[in-house]
Amino acid sequence: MATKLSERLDKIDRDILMPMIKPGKTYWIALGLCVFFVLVAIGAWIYQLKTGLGAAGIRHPGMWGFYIINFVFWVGIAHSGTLISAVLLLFRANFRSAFNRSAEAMTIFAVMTAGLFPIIHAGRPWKIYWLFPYPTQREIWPNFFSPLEWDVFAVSTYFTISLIFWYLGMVPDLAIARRFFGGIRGFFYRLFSLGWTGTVPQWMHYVRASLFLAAFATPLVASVHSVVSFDFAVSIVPGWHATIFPPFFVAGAIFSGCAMVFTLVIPMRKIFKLEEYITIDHFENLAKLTLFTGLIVTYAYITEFTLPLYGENIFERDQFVYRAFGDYKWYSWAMIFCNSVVPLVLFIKQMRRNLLVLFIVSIFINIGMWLERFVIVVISLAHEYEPYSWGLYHPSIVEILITIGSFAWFFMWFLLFTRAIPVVSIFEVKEERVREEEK
Amino acid sequence: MKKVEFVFDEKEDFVAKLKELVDAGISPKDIRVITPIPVHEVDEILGTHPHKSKIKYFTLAGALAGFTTGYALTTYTHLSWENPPLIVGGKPLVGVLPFFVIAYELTILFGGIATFIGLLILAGLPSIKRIISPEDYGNKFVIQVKGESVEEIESLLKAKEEA
Repeated sequence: MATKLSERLDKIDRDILMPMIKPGKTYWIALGLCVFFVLVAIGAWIYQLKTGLGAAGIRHPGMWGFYIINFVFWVGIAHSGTLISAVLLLFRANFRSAFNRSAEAMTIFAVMTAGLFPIIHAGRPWKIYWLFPYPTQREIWPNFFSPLEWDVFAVSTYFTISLIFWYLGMVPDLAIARRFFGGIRGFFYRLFSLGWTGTVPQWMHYVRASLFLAAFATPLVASVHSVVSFDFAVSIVPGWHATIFPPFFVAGAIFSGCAMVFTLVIPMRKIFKLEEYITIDHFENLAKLTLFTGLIVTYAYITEFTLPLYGENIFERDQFVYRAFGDYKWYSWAMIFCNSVVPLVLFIKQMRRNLLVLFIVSIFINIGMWLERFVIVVISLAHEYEPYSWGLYHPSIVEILITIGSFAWFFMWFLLFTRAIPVVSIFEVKEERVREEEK
Repeated sequence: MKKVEFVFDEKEDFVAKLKELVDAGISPKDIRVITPIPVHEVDEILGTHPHKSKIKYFTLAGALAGFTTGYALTTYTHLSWENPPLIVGGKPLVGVLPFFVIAYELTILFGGIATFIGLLILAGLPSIKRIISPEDYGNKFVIQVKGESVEEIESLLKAKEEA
């Protein structure tokens, strides 16, 4: 190689940072659309606050509707971010560095989206601090036997740890970005890079801290969605009360999260011309992970359906017959098509290496996983024990607008992220490059 | 204060020079190294392997504190209604299993925050001086030797060579 190592590393800096400098027209249109739909959703929410929770379609027996579906969906999306960065760090998987920064960003924004829904669903957002334990003169504390209270701890821990992990990984990169930008922007990079220099003691503690945080984040991934599944499994509703729920939810979460990484990173790679750093091999590895978790989800569906048929609980059995052939049957079959059938194309190597195919499959999985939350939440509640309490749930326009707004909110943050923070972990790409060259 | 600085474009040259300097008898304490990426060879030469980082004590302390807080908070709040105790759903007043979920999450939360704080303390961040004027060598590998002049180092290296 003719050029010096430091020059080759300089090129990596430039390649990754340059797209941050000048946003194109498409960017502003996309951002504008997102902001518009967020504003529409805020309007819908204000309407709900003024008229009361009746503005949403949640009625007895369907007391959990779109809001809870969205909560579970977005917490699930959040999962693969931490999985990709933490678990793959522990396993030293080399395709990690291509995705970890954007996957972690996705985690943060998805948790930020998920966190909105309990607030919206609770109806009185100004009392949301009641969820947290704080000393009051009434001596009333949260009920720590309730899975909903576990959720408060799980989700807020998840957000905090993901944020720390993301930020920690970013510090050396922000120190690179501060060379490229002046003015206010440069000042913020200098401020948030904390005066990072790259001395040996700094790297020494840094490497260790990243490892420990990864070691914490890995069991956290498993616990958070397990706790979310407890919201259902700890109750006695047929279709919810199942011991398979925690692993089923965790696998589903990782599956949907991987799909969302494809949805976000494939366009980003093209727009930012990051082909050299996020390669087809990287995508293929992630596609294998997606296929693997998809098969676990399919296995869980089979178990979920066959156990009630095999067992003696008539309410469970009736629930699953209702899922397959009742009022909402199309949702169930669409879910199985999207989550269990479509991903099978990833068994073919050419398909795993075709970005268009991956992108389309990822959209199917996103839809399928949203439907899965719908199937679990709505269908189970619509068909409980007593026939007199059966009933259908229909979302109101307010719920639909807020759901669309939540997607816009998520993409809005992601778009802002792509302009503010290096989208690929630069120092890790360099580390990998140097390691490869030495081989 | 006297300071000598060596700047390299290539990692190999940098590692070789560092080894030479340490072999010539310069104490690792007087050597300050700045690299764009973590370099494992440096850890071996200067004896700064990440294993030796004291950050583990922060992590352990945070994790233990979190676990204790988790059980203490739940137990205390459930016992704080004294007479009569507030029984929820016919369950025991202090539930070891349900409270474990809270203890588990707080173990991770406190442990993670303590690790981060430990990093800031041990790595000397944030450094206001360096935020105002960053010390930045780009992608070059830098060795700084404190308390020696160029001549002194040269003579040291020469003496080593002759010996």
